Amino acid sequence: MHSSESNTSEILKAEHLSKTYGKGYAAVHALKNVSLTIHEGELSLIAGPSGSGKTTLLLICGTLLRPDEGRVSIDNLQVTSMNQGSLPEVRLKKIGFIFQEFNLLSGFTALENVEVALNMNGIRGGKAKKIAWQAIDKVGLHDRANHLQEDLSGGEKQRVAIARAVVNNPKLIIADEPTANLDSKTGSGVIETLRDIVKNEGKAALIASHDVRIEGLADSIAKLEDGSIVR
Amino acid sequence: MVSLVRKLLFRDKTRLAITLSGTSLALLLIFTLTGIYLGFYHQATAFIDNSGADMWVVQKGAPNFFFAISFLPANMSNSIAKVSGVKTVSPLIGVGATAAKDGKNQSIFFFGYDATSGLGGPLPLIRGSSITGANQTVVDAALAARLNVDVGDVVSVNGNRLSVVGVSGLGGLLAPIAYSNLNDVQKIVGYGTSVNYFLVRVSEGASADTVASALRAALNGVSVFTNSEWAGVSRDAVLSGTAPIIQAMEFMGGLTGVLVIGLTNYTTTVERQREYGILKALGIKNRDLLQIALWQSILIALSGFGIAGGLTIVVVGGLQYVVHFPIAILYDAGSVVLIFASAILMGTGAALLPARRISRIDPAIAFK
Repeated sequence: MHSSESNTSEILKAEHLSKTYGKGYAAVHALKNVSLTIHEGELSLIAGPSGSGKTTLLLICGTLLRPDEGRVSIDNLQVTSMNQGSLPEVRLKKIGFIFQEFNLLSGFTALENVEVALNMNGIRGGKAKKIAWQAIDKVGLHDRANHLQEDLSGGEKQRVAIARAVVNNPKLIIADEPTANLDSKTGSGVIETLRDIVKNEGKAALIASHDVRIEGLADSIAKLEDGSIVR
Repeated sequence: MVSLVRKLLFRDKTRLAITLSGTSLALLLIFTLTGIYLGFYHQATAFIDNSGADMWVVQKGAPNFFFAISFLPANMSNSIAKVSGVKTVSPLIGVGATAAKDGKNQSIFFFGYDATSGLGGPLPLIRGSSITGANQTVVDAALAARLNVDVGDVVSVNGNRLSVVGVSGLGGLLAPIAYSNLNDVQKIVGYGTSVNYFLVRVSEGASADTVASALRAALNGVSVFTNSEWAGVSRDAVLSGTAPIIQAMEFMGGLTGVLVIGLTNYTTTVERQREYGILKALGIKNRDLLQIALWQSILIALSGFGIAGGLTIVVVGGLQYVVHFPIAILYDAGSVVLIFASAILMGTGAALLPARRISRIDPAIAFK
């Protein structure tokens, strides 16, 4: 992994990102020269309507998509120039993902869904179980740990997803519409939990959402329209 | 990763049961055919192997025991006995005949042997005793089962009544066997003063090769084989026609197993590509996902091997004791190891089907 000297409090630094899908008349300019920086302890919201480029920005910052132009650094690691084979390890160790549809593994319990992330990181057996319990505890699901994910409510599933996202102690959390499938109260609870983790554990969160209720909990808000940050 | 493999495998128990059933049946086919092949291999020449002879004198040009006729004059035994190094000479008749009891007919190999020397006589007896006089017969287990005869019964061979004095182990590949003394058989089949073979024992200290050379030099119109040579050419004659068929069926069984596991793995991969995509997004490497697919395949194949092994015991027992299958079904350590290796190979081969699909899953699917 390549590292470069920079401000240590910068967890995510995206510079001049551009991305176009398709060619010619069919070309869609999903991102146009977008830059943003998120610091340790900061919860940053990307707002904007559907098709504004939010998901493309998350994909690029999450190393799941290459930008046509620009570069991304995560925890001082320049990831846009890394080869494809190295990126899974970056995602495993540096980034925690939270998805709109929760994306838990069916047939697995809450605890097992968290354990899987640890197993992927080479932590197994009793040690993995212990760490997974701690993460489940942290999101307030101690009593539901051994329930199958299918038996959990939406809010509980999203809490499991948060536990899974943070269990490998990443610096950056990327969340795509984490409250879209939750009612108002549950959604606020989920975001508060996420905010607590970000603040207490020195992480940074990049959240894409339509949900205006999150705006009050975010440290910074960037509004995307037609692939550009407008404020 | 093993626990992840196990969890992924066991969470859809119906699918797992279907896959295991298909794999186990494919391996059961391989197990059974291998056992039949090995039984075939040993039983093809069991009679020759147990003849007690050091060498066989046959009519010149008779290439093997099964697909050729050898006629020799009975008085040739005197010429053979005079050859240096020959200890004993025993004539043998082996001819097709029909055995019957209670209206049931059965084609058999009917052997007439020198009951005094015992060369060319029955395989080890399961029950009863050896032939000690005229109008007696020993039948092999296959004939006993097919005609429902046992020691003390009377069986008819080509219309001649013979008392069953013993039941021997399986020795006939193409037909069941009955044994009687030479004189009875000569009369029953109308051989007069002819026999089919002479079985020779060599004196202690004499070289079989040297005696064989001496016999060839001394006798006209004969071929001389050591017992193992005669067994070898006879076995080859039978197996050259049947082995490719059995091997082709085993290959088909293996291929079926690969396809059952592979297609199940493939459809599972297609159905769960979103979950695999999520795991990729979370940071699992392609290599690890491929390992999961590989371990799933191998675990299924090994479980199938265990189940098929258990089923084989039941099937073989049924074939031998219920259906009275005419060929012994045998296994040795080598064959079981070979089937085990085939199962591993089957699992590995099956993992290749979904491998390409897995490696091409886009982790961005997790955001859709």
